[in-house]
Amino acid sequence: MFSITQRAQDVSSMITTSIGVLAVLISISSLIQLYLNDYNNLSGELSVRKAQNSVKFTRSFGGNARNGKENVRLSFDMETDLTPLFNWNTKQVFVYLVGEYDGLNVLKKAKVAKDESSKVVFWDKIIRDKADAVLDLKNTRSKYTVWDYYQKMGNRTANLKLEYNIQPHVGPLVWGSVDFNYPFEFPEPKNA
Amino acid sequence: MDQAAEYFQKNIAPALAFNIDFKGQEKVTSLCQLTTIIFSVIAFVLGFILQDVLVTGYVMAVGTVVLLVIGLPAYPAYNKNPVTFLKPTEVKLPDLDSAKAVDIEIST
Repeated sequence: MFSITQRAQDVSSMITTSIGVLAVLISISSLIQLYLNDYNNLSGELSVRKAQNSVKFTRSFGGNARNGKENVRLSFDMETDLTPLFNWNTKQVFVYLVGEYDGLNVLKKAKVAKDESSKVVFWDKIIRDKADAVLDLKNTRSKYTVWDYYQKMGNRTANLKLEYNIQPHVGPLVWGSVDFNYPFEFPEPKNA
Repeated sequence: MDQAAEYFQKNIAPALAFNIDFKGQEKVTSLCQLTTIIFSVIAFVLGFILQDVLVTGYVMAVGTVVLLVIGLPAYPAYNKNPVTFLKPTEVKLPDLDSAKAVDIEIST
């Protein structure tokens, strides 16, 4: 404008406005790309090789000295292709293997709702590149030993699925899941 | 300290203003808006085709530098129509020394 400071202010306002508009356009275009890539209908295969349930009596495994807590660990094979989730706006994708099972409504005094469900995470991974997006895992051990709020976990059936969270460079977070249709029954505890 | 500030305001600051006239101001703003739009479009299209956000960032960085080079310095091309001020003329000021004081009555 008239003096150099006014011109500098005008130029900087133009630049920040254009950066804001570009950010909105990038996020909208990447969401459209995900929708066209059919990101919600991914498929894969999962099979659990070995699962074990043991009762632990220490704090770091959810139990205490008197009442134990049933802890479940498993090892699995998994195959899935996550490349439709990657476009120019994807910074990284966080995938995690969850088991979803019904809440325990046996204990009446706990007042658990009938349709309550619990989710536990067995394994997770951060994928940063499109080249690493094809997962082909063999005999992978679960990262975390899982336990429930209540003591009993054995003989309850869980639905295992892989959930993902797409973290973009600009724009909103996107969640989704790959359903394996694999009902998995937790084994009985081997030490009472 | 005050004297230094006064000296700065009187002698150094006007030289640092790098003024341009009004016609040049019109030219500069329209030129800067045009280059901003052009660089934003090029950045988005290139980034989308190459599927890389870094390309968009780099093109916008280059656009920022170009804008600073175009808009900030006071080129003589922007100073072609200087503002013509009126010549200083004699203005009759009222004679305050012989003015009569007006009595104001304060009603209580």
